[in-house]
Amino acid sequence: MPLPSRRSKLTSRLTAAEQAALARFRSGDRGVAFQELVRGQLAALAGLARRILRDEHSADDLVQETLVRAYGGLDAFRGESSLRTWLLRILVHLAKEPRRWSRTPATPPEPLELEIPDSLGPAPDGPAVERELRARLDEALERLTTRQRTAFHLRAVEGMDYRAIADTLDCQPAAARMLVLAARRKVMERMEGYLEP
Amino acid sequence: MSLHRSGSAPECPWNDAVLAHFLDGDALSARVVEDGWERDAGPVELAEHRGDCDLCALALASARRLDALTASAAPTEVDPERATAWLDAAILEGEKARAPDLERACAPAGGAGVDREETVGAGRAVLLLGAVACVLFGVVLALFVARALRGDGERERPANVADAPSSPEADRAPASDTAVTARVAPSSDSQASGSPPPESSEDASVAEDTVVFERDGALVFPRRPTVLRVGASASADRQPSASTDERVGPAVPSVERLALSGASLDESYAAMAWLRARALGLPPAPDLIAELGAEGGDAVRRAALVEIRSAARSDHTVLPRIESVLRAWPRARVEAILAELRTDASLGRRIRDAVLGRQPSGVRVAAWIGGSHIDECLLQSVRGDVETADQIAVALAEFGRRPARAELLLGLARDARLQAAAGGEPALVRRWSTTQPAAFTWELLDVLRVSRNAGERRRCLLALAARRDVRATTALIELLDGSRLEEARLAAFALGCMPPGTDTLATRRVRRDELRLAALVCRRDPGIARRLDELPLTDEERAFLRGGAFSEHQLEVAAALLRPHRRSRVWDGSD
Repeated sequence: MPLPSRRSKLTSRLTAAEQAALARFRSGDRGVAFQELVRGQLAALAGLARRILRDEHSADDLVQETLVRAYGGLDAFRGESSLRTWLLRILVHLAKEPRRWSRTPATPPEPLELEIPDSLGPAPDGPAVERELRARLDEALERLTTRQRTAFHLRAVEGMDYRAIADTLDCQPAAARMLVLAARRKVMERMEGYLEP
Repeated sequence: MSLHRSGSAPECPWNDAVLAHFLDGDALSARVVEDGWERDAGPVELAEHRGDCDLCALALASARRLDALTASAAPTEVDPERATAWLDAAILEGEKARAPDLERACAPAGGAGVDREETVGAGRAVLLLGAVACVLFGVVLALFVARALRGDGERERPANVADAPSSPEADRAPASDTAVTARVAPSSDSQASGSPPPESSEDASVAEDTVVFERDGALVFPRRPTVLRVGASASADRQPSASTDERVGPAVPSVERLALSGASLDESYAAMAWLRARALGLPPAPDLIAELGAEGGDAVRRAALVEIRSAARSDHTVLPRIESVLRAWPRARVEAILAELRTDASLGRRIRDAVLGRQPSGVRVAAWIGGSHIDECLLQSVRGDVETADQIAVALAEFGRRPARAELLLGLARDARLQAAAGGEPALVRRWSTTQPAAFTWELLDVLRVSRNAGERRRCLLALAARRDVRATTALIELLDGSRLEEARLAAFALGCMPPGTDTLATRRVRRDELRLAALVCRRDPGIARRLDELPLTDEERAFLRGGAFSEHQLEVAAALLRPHRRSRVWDGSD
């Protein structure tokens, strides 16, 4: 149920455009307003879903379900956290049911084969180094627990601080700190030689 | 150096605290282990430790690269068709769900048309309702028993109760309990039922403190709404509402609080930037403050620019201040700030003056910022000064990516006086190249691809040899098979510096096979030993070849010895 407008104005962490879209959503122009509110957040949702589930199709399903839940819950959204944080919390919450989203049984990651470009090509600093580093990174991140992976993604990609990560994961900030630091340490161990100056 | 915790390389016990503070913006004191004891370390102590500890500095640099790599690997946009499909489906499903909600709630669990997921959800709801009913029953029972006991006590000691003064704490206790219940109960309910979780109560409490920057440069604090808080610390923070007339002076404690416990990392850093600018005695101009407080955009980047531009308007010590400002920000964000400064013409003149005057801060800041004009000044400023050149090389190594870094370093290495001071061109190139980050290899290959300057290409190949980066081997093998003899020799030298068994050099056929063999001998490739035994060589020559690890000149001699129909030239034992 929408709260009184005075409170929303005082505590809202939404931008003016988001507040306007939210007002239009509540006044009946739901479809257009929802698209306007959420379209800019889809990349963040897709990125986190893929990082958690490691399967593109399952991740798409998770994003889809997140949007459905968000559509249903947007009336009750008070704007006390940013819209992105709220959506990511829904996604993390839904992702806690791994059987629902896993289409294929989890397989251990295959050993990484380094790809060395076979010609100098037009742009040597382009695809080859990207592929190699990302393959290493994916391999290292897959060995983390889901909570570690999620916490590290929220820190490194979304730029959240420990408190926001704790809010998203429903834990204490100290626990979020431990998750982020442990994840980073493990990934750095796996990527030894690729990150050092 | 290894970062393995279980490996043989050492690891500093302060690593976590340093990373949490300098990378994640954990602004509060941190627990550190020293001599087997845990204790709190404040920001100043952490900063001092970071300056002294090479292990922590390395871990911090590596972690910064890791965060940047992770961020760059995440998708920045979604295919528009897919996005539209997602949104349309969500709206359709959402609208469908709105109408029959009531009917579905009344339908019997497990009945016809109810799928497995709904059955499980209904089961959970029944369990939850049962649990809530049990808790309520327990609470009512406890209240009933308590009231009965109190009634007994009153009946037994009516005079004492009437005389006892009621304490304020006792009066407040029930109110506090009510507040906790009011905040917690909706949260647990909504999560258990799978509905969207509520926004954070922490966010709500911090959002009250958000400073509003107005066009006239004054800081204004919004009137605080009445918000129920959980826990004693929250109530301890509570202060009287600040009126909209409050100005900069009285507002500072609130900004400090925001700096330490901002709703987001960006807000914390923005507030800290404001405090630093104020501590430096730099009254930020109203328009800059307004820029900082504007809606949307990157608050951190804008806050840094406010600081830097405020410093730029102050006095002649602008560059040390800019350096200190940049060092105070997370490294991943500094790269974005530097990109913006690169186009800031107002700073360009001051930086060029400082560089040509060889001010250390100016040289460092200029090396970070870069750009064609500034790089030209840096090249002019060195003029044989080894110390300045080394400062530039160190500054260039501080960021993962920096435009035209390879060109600048290779240009510096052209200086004959620097070469003489370092013991020759290869030694000078080696000294600077080995400390640069991983991206430097690709920058060198890029120079090699576009440059037509023979001297620059030579220094580039020497740098690749010094880096011993296996990602360059493919390009080097192509050069080894190319038409330019001098470059083929240097490419063989660079390939000879690579670790053995990391490429296809042993099985490749190239135009100058003796250079390929010399490179394999130089890196002491295991497969080349038998080949040496078959060659008609003197014992001395064979011993020389078995030694490997040649200098550039020795590699040429080795190639001459390994030539299929070698001439009369033999190794005379000299380099």
